[in-house]
Amino acid sequence: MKKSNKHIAFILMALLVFSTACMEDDMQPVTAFDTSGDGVFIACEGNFMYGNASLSYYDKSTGNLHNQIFLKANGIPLGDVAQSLLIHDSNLWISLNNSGKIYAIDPQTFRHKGIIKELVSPRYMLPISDDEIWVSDLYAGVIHVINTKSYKTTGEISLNTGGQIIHNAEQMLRYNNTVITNCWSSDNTILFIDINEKKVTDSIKVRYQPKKIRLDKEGKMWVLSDGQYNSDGEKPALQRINPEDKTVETSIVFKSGDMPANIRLNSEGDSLYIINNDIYKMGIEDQQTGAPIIEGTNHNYYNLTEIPSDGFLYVTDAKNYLDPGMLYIFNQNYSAIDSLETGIIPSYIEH
Amino acid sequence: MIKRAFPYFLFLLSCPGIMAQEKFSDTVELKPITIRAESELKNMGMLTHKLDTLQLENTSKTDLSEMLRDNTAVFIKQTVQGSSAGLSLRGTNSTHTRVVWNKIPLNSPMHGSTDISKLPFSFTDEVSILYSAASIFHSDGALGGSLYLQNKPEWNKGIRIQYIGSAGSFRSHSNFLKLNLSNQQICSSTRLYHAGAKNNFTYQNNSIIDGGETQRENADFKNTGIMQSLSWRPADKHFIKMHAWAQTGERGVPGLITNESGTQNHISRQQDKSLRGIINYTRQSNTLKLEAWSAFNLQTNHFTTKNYISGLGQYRSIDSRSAFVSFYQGISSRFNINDKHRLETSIRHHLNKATAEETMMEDTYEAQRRDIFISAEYEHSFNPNTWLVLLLKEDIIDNQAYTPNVATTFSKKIKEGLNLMLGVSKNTHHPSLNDLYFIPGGNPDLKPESAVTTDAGVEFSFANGIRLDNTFNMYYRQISDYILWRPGPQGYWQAENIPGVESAGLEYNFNVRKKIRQFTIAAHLSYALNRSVNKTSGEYTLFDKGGQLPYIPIHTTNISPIVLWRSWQLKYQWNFYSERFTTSSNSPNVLYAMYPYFMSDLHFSKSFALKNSSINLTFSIYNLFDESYRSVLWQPMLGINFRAGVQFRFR
Repeated sequence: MKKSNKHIAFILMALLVFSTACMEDDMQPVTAFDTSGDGVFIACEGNFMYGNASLSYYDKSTGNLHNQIFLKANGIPLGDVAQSLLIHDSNLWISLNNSGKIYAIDPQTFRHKGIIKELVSPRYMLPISDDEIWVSDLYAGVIHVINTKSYKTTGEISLNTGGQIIHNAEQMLRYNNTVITNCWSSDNTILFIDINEKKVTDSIKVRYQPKKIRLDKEGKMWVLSDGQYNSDGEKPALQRINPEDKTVETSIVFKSGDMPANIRLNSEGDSLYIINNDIYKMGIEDQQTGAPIIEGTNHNYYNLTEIPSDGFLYVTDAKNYLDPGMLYIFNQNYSAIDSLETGIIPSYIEH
Repeated sequence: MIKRAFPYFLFLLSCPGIMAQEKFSDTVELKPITIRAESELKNMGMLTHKLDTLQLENTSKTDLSEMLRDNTAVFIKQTVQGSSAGLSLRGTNSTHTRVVWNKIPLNSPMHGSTDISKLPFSFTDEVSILYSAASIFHSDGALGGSLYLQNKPEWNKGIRIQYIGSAGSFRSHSNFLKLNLSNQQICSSTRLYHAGAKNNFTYQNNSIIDGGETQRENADFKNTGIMQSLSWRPADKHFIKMHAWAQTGERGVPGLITNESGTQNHISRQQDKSLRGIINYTRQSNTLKLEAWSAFNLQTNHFTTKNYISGLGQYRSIDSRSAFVSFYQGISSRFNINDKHRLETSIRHHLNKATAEETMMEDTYEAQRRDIFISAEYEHSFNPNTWLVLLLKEDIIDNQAYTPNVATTFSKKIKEGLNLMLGVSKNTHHPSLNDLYFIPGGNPDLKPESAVTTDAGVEFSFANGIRLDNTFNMYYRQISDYILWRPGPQGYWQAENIPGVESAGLEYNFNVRKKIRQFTIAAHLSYALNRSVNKTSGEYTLFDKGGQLPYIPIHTTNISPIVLWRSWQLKYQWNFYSERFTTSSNSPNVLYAMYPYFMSDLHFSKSFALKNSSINLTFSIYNLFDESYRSVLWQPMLGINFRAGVQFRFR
């Protein structure tokens, strides 16, 4: 064989070797967990259409943060956009907004126990009774009624108030025998739903795109609104509303360019934490936010919660919203005592 | 602005005064182009890479993205045939890769990128990839490079007919018909194209509880297009060319395999229509070529997502429409002063008008932008073996002049079959209209991206019983004010400048051909290494420094040996892509990265020569080893699949 022919034969042989190698597939190994379940769960949203949502667990007894515990415990990814969490009826419920489903897992082993499928875009969950939770939906125009024993959808509550707009529920909170929900996407409505009748009984208009609602210890509702995108439109605002007579008692309008991310009440319900780049704390009777308690430079703080058992403030940082974020733990003096890497866009904290 | 632009106008207008010296010749326009002709020294200096015609013959493929993936080391982010395909050159993203068809930029002025799955390969006669200086001269904002598509007239060939048809797995099919009519003065080329597929393949879904074998839904597509080219030579030296291309397309946009919202929800569809045309006048001689053209590009896009709402049935949660029309005018001159000096100048004017509307969210924007690009390129030949090219280009965007782009390349023939080149260039990419004005998330304060690139290359060819061609290029590039869209606290994505991205890489292309008795054995190899990392500095700490940019593989390779025996051909195609990350932290985790994959395809063809015509039959096996792999996170890919085709040529 000529020298050049040998070269060609060698190339062909090498190609044959390349072609017979194997690639990985999507099967993931399963890890056994057995925790106290008395830690802090963090839903990491992930990016829309990336399917990189994940669940993190902070073990308070060891100070360790375990990431991607759903993937590790079940061998499958959580899904696309983990919106919220709820501990109820011995389960941790995880709503996956862009996967149209809710997982129920064991809070100690993180193993899958049940699934509710064929929802449109589930957002937030509210327990109504031991065996019933309500689930808001970004696009369905209804609130889904879920039986927590059978993991089935047993009904729905229409949010149609007779107008042109189809309302979609976002967060929900319980006020006596009423569920109050904010209609966020391209809307400015707060709906009042009678729990027994499962019907919308009243509504009010607030500032554009109300995205977070909380109830303080006086039974007053705090509403954080996005405002409009254009700079000359409505600005973001925080309002305190009396749910009885629907009057606005406090209204704080943020300056143009502000993008307040979240509000949360402290353990006692008498102060409000506000994330607006920096983190602020104001009393529920105050009319302004005052000075920040935590500086936000080089951070994108996204959510927080104060845990009564230790009095610490758990704050998530979405960083650049594309890479894994952080969990910061601040003591009562608002000094960071720990920082731990989470999944992408750590958003909802449940404990 | 006017003061800065004025010298360039004078420069361009001075060229017609030299026309008295011209001698008539149209050989450049008429001469058939061969592969070797493209490896000439100047092309090398300008970093112009033309697709190998041998690799393109006897194929039933009509999809340009498939042709590029198989024949170059570029990276194309695409799932199945017909799905959105973004082209990435030299470690940049698809907005940094410009696609130009007969001088018409095909990149949307709105989002800045081109969906190359919408470009039928059979609608173009010549495909080139331009880098650095060539890319700066022939396109705008191509920090990675340009895909340059051209249609060439065939003079005096009478009637020529070509039909290519194919059918394959999952109801994939394509039909292409070309009718060419030409005499010495007029040439007409009419092309019709239709392609589609159901893409309803089954796959193993290991990403949900009780997944198992699942059928892909809503991944279908269909594209239909017609193109008409008319070329007229009314007199010696004068050429008039017209091209018009109309196309419609529709496709499903399937969700991720983790989606369990049911068959009634998250049903996304996309429809698009485009109409583009150009009229071009050329006056050409040995010493001077003058060109003037006017063109337009109109595109509309309609995207909907439907969900089931109790009491209302299927209801649109997203109803997004966008449209743009762009008008292009330009004049250029190429003056061969003598054997040592050439001067090429051009002025191009673009007017882009765009509108986008999201009916459900009531978001809308309208925008308009006027771009003027003034270029001058001087080529100096120290001797027949040594060339220097100097390029100066001014961008005037909405009446604002920016720091000029510059490029210089030096190429030298060391000896027969051995050429070297060196180059350095500075290029600018201006934000797209969506980058600036999209609601929500557009940022009118964005700065243009600026890139400085250095290139070095060597070309080695050898012919003595065996034909070997090697090209090896290296580059290093720094991009400042890189434009990035990322989510924000309000839940929508926003555009911003990040301080810097640094890229370095190399490309190697190898072709070998050897005749052994009745066999011809050929092989093609392309390899690209692209290291493209975030180099943010100072107080900007939101990004992990040093990470490879998302969706840019570091290693890309394809190898395709071909064996020809009489009228039979057997081709094996092997493609490899290294790991792709979706975050700048470069975590190798399964949620953030896609494992490396390689693909093997096998193609057979047999030709029959008839009187005045020929028939070529093809049969292809794709994903020969039925591998499961990912091109995009949580999107399934086709397993082994087949396609049979026929190609008929009359004359």
